[in-house]
Parts: sequence; C-alpha cells; structure tokens
Amino acid sequence: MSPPDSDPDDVDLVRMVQGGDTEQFSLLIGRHQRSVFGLGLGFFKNREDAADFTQDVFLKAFRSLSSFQGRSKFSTWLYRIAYNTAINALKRRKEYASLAEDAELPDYDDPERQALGEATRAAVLSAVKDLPERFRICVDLYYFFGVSYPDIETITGFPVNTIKSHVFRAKSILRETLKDEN
Amino acid sequence: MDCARAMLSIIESKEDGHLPLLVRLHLSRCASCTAEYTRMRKAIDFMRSEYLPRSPDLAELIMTAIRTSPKAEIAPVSFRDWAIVGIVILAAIAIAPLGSAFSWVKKSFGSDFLLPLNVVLGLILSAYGALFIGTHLNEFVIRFKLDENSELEQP
Repeated sequence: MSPPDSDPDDVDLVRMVQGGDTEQFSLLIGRHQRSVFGLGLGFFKNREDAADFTQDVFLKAFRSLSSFQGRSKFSTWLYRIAYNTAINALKRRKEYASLAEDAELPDYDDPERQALGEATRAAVLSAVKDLPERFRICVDLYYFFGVSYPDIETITGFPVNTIKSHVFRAKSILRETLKDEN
Repeated sequence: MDCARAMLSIIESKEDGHLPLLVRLHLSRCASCTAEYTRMRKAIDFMRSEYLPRSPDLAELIMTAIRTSPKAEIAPVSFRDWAIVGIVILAAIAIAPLGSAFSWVKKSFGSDFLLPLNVVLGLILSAYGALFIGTHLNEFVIRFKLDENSELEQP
C-alpha cells in the first residue's frame, strides 16, 4: 500500500482537475513544463518563443482536459497537443532541430561523464543529420523524452515502422559511437 | 544466441528495460555484451537527464491565465456517464410500446395519444442532445475539425 502522503500520479491529478480542483493543474505544469519547453525549443529555436509555446500548450491542455480519458499516458496526450500546436504554428514547415544541435552541456568534473556527453552528442547529431527535419523529432522523443515507439506514433502520426527504422538507426549509431569511444 | 544477434535484439527492443528472455539469458553469461548494454543504457539515461533544457518556471503565469480565463470551467460529467444516460433514454423509448401501461393507454385512447407522446419524447431527446453538445463544445470542435487550430487531430 502506498503511503498516504505519496505524490498523486498524473492521472490522479487530472481526475482532481476534472472534478473541479483546478489548482492541481499547477502540479502537472511543474512536472511537464521542461519537456514541453524542450519540444518548443526544437521547433522554434529560441527560448522566448518556446516559453510562449509552453504556455499555449498548457492552456490548450487545460481546456481539453475533459476529453482526457486516461487511455494513454498524460504525457503522451500532452506531447500530442504540443506537437500539433507546433505543426499548426509552423504551417507547412514541419521543421524540427534536434535538442542535441544546440544543447549546452556543462563541463563535467567526471571524465567518464564528459566523454559520455561528447559521445551521445556526436551519436545523435550523426543520427539526425541525414534525416528529413520532420522525422528528427522521433529520435529526440525516444532519446531525450523517453517516449516509446507506439507513443511516438500517437504523438506524431508517423507510421510506427518509420519510427522504428529511424530509432533503430539512431541506436545503431549510438552503439558504434560508444564502441569507438571505448 | 550469439553476441551479434543479442545486440541486434537489444537495439530492436521496443521498450527499454524489457528485453526478450533469450537476450537476458545471453547477457547473464556474456560479459562483453553486458558491458556494451550497460554502456548504452548509461548513455540513454544520460541523454534523458542532461539534454532537456531548463525551462523557466511558467506554472504561476499559466495558472493566472487559467484563473482569469472565461473558459476555465470543465465539463464535470464524463463521456461514459453521458453515454449511459443516452442509452437509458433510448432503451426506455424502445421498450415502452411493449409494456402493459402502453397497451392500456392505447386501448383507452386509441392512436390519438401517439402524436403528443412522440412530441414529448422528441423534446426529451432534443434536450438531452442540446445539453450534451453544449457541455462538450470543445470536443465537437476538435472531433469535427471545426477549428483549424484544433489541437488533438492528427497533423
């Protein structure tokens, strides 16, 4: 049995908001704003627009919350709103720059961590450089957001086999890069 | 299972941490594949913890917008509850002619009561439909793509 003071999960919070306790929505914002902001940065490439985008996405999510049935994870549902909001904002230019392209990783004291940072960055850049821009988000969603293939399909609408092949290639590149590093 | 096939299977696995039994067996007795798998896991964990940029704290700003928004109300009744009520209404209309009360009314008044009865049932159905649509306007806009900025349709 979970302790009584344990944090409610996303679905519990959604149910509370749907029941009228709208203030609980701030906890959902706190949990997911970094991810939505990251997606915004990938699409809009500057922090101001990404912040505006994040606000827009959460307002849309709040207004649509009554339609959330809990059949998917809240994060998947939210990312789908974010993805569609970005695509609609950019109209036909479904461009997305991988977060690895502009990532500002700190200098780590731990050399192993430093090497890991350099290797992962090289691997992701290599994986996305030959991909059409609209598919780059698949690699980011898998690597940086920890989203599964079926959920990436739900979010982006790309066929799952297309997603699998892009992520498979990205994982193969990561494996080779790590081997070289080693 | 050999090392090449085990690593291919690891790369092909859909979900992290859910490896096929044969792969897990292979890892339990192959130090080099285990080391390689551990390196990949470490790299992926690193990416998930380090690459997402820090976001400014927008919670209060968004909550203020929500509190002052005229559309801050949320339909308190779920789709399932609406569907149950709709099914009950339709079932009641469908089985009403089979009941003894209906037979008695028909015997007493002939078929003259059918018109007012249908008017009443029609009003009940219209009221139910209007209430349902009125409390789910946002969902209808999204479902039938009435708004080009609809956020839940597939791109």
